[in-house]
Amino acid sequence: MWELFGKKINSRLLLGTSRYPSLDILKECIGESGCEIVTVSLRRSGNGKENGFFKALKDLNLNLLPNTAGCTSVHEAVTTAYMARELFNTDWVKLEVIGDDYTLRPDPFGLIEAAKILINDGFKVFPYMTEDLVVAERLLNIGCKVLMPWASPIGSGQGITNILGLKMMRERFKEIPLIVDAGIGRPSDAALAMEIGFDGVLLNSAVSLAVNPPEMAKGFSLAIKAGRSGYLAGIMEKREFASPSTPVVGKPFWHGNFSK
Amino acid sequence: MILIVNGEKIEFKDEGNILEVINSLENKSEYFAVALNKTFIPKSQYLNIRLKENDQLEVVTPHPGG
Repeated sequence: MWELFGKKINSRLLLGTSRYPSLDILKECIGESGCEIVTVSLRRSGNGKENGFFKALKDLNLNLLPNTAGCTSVHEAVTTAYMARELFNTDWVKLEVIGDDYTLRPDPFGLIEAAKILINDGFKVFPYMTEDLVVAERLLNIGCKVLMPWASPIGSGQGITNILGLKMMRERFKEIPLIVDAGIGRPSDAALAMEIGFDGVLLNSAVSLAVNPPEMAKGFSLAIKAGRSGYLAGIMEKREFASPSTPVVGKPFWHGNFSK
Repeated sequence: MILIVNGEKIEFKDEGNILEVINSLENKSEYFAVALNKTFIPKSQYLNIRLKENDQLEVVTPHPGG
């Protein structure tokens, strides 16, 4: 059990809802993953299918985390957040201000500026960011209560490309909920994020683009639980030598040396 | 009156407020939010704001997202 903005959450997996083969498969993935928070977006009116999508999520009684995906300016991101707050009836927002089209790297300057505007107006901001400690510090200073560094570029499936950077974030901000967001490709990536002490993992494509998305959702759920247990249990230090796990004393035929 | 709705020029016979214009659109969604000329307009304002020639209206709906 952990807490985000006063809400008690059991699952440490946050799941994106995009690019699934069908709405039914998305629902199945949500069930298999056990997630309680899903990300959603706003787009121009389409063909009416969006009604079914939204109703399905409402029926599942999930916490919705609207994003500002694709926004490249502070004004766009802030306006999108306002529309999302009204439409989804939540003050949570996954704030994305994209600074580079090719890598979808966040624009740290725009992110801080937009976050400040939104926090001052009562939003609970989940900032999509890199593992930059200075940006993290600034975001916390203006009132962010949670940080969401990427593992690697969105949708790349590259896994954690800067493990040292994420470890330093964990070390520096011990009391702040940290969620790895974006770039996760396989369950072991998520397990690793949890093993180094992250509080949660947000992923989408790794499940939705899997050959069998519901099975992958289950795999991620297990991996995140395993990684969390590993972190809580305390992982042994690596050694540069062998150390027998079975006691040597009492071994049959023991002569006290290695002569054959 | 010509309006730019979700990036497309649409001609309306009569002037109207935001709600009237949205109700006259095809492919209406049950759930939507609106920005007028890139500024968010809360639902409570739909009846009070009359649209003008070349106003840009964004009507967005819930979609999957990551």
